[in-house]
Amino acid sequence: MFARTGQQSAAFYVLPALLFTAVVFIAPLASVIGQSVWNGQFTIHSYQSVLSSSLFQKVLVNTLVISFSSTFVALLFAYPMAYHMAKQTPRRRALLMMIVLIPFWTSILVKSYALMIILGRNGIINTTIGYFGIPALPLLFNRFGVIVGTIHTLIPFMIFPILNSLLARDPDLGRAAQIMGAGKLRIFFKVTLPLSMPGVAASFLLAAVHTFGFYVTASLLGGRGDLMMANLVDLYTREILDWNMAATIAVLLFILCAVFTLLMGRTRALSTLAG
Amino acid sequence: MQRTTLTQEPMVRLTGVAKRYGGGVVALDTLDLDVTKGEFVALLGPSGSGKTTLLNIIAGMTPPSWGSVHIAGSDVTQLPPSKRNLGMVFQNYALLPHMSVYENVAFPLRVRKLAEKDIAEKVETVLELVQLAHAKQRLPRELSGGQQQRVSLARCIVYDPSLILMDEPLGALDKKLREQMQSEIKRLHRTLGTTILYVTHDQEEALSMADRIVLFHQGRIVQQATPADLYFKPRSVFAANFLGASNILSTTAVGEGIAQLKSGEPIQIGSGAPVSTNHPVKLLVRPECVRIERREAASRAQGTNSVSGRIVSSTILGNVTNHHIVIADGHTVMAQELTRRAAQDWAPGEEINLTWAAADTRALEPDEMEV
Repeated sequence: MFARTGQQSAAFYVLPALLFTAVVFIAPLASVIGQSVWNGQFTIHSYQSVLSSSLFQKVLVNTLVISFSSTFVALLFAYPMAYHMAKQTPRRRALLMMIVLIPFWTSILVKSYALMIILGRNGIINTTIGYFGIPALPLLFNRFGVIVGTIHTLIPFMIFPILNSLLARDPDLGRAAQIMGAGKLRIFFKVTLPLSMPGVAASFLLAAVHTFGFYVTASLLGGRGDLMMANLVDLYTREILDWNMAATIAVLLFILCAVFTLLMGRTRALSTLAG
Repeated sequence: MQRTTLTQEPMVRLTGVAKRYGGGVVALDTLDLDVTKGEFVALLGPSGSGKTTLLNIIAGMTPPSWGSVHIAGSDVTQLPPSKRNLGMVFQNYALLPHMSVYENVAFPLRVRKLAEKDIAEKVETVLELVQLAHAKQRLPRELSGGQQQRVSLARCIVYDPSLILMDEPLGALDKKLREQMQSEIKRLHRTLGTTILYVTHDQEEALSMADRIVLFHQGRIVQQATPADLYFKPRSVFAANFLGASNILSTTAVGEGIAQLKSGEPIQIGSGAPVSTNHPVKLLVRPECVRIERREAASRAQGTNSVSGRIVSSTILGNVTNHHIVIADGHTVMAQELTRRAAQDWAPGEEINLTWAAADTRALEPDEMEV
C-alpha cells in the first residue's frame, strides 16, 4: 500500500526529467547507435574498420593520456585547495567556493582563446621571458597547451568531491590523534589522507570521464598530433562525411565513459560503506 | 618527564583560568581548580555551562584567555595537545575508521616509536583488560557502541598518560550499557590509579562514579564537593535542583534558625546558609525526607517540622512512590517513600500533615544569576 504510493509518487516526480532525457538524450543516442550499424542494411563493418584503424588507436591513446595526465596534475592542485578550504570557517569557505566557481561563468571557448593569448608565441609568457633573452617556449598548439587548458577546466570539478569528503570526516579524529601525541604530518598521512581517498577516487573518475569528450580545448590549444575522440567524430562528420564511422566512434566513446562511470558508482558505494 | 617528587603537587592545577570569546561572550569565568593524583573528578553541569571548554583548555585544544595550566607540576599553558601526554575519551569514540582495533590501540605507541614487539605486548595486555582481545583484527564499525568505547579506553590507557580526560564518554550509549561501562571505567580507575577528569551532564553518573564533583553553571564553578556532600549540603538553589529531586520552600526568616511559610507555619532550619531576619530564604527538603502523617497523629516534637497539606496524587514509579501534596501556602511538595502496601493508603483530596526533621531542612544561598 505504502510502497505503491511511494512508487507512484516517485514516478510522478521523475517523469518530467525522464521525458526530457528521452527526447534530448535517449532518442538521439538510439539514432547514433542505429547510424553506426545501418548502412542500407545491418552491418558491423564500421566497427571492424574503426577498431583496426591506426588513426583511431592513436586518438584513443591520445585521449586516455591527455585525460589521465591532466586529471592527475589537476588533482595535485585541487587537493591542497580543498584541504585549505576545509579548514576555513563556513563563511570564508563560501567565499572561496565562489572564487573557485568563477571560471564556470566563462564559456570554455572564451577561456581557450584567453589561454591562447597567454601561451602563444607572442603571448604574455613568451613576451615576458623574451625581455630576459630567453628564447620563446613552445607552449601552444601542442600537448602542453591541451593539458594546461584541460587542467584549468578540471580543477573546480575536482575540488568539490574532495572538499566534501574532507568536511564529512569527524573533527574529533584529528583532535584524538593530536592528543595521542601525533604531529601534523603523521595526522595528515595516517588519518586525513586515507579517509579522504573515496573523495579523491570519485573526483578523479568524475574528472577523467568528463575529459574523454573534450573537443574545444584540443582543437584550439592542441597541435595536429593532439586529436581527441570528439575531434575525430567531428573529422568524420564534417570532412570525411562518413557518418557510419562518426557514429561508431561516438558509440565507442560512450561505452568508454559508461565503463568509467560504472567504476565511479562502485567507489561511491565503497565510500558509503566506509562512512 | 618533569614529574615532580613532591607528593603534594596536584596532577592538574588551574590558576586564574578564564575563556572569553569575541563579542564579550564569557565561556568560562575566572576559576582555580586542583586535581589530586589518582583522583576521579566529575565536571558536572548543563550544556553550555563551561565544563567542556575547561576540558578543552586542559587538553590544549582551546587556549585560555587568561590563567595558567599546570600538569604534573610543569606549566603546559603554551604546549600543544600533542606535547601534554594526556589521554582523551570522546563521546563518539573517535576511533580511526580505516584501522583495525589493534592498529587503533597501537597508534599512540607508534607515535612514541616503540619497538614492534613492545607494541604487540602492550596492545594485547590492554585489550585483555577491556575484554576485547578476540576482536583485535576487526574494524571499529563492526563493533557495538559499548565495544567501540572500550577500544577507545584501551587506546587511552595503553600509553599510560598522566591524566585522562573523558568528554561525556557514555552519552551515546543506552541506559543499561551505560551502567555497565560506568562500572568498567571505575574498575579501570581503581586498577590503574590514573587521574580522571570526567565531563558529564548526567547527575547520576557523576554521583555514582566521582570522588569529587565540580558543579558548573553559566561558566562558573558553583560548588565542588564529594557526591554525598553535594547531595546533602548543596549551597544554592541551582545545586539543589541539579542533583536529585528537591522541594524548595519559599519562606521568610523570622529568627535564628527559624523561618515561616507565607501561610504562617514555622519551619526550623537545620543547616545551610546564614539567614537574616525578615529576609526571604529558600529552604531545601529532599522528597525522601518528607513523611506523610494523619493530621491528628502528626508529630509536634521539637526538631520536627510539620505543615498541613492535601494529597493531590500518588504515582508508583517502581520501587518508589511519589506523592504530590499541596501545602497551606499553595505550593506543591513531593514526598517520596518506598513502594509498600501502606504507601497506597493516601487518597487524593485527603487532608494530612507533612513532617520532616529540622536537620533535613537546609537554607540555600540565593542564586545571584538566576532569573
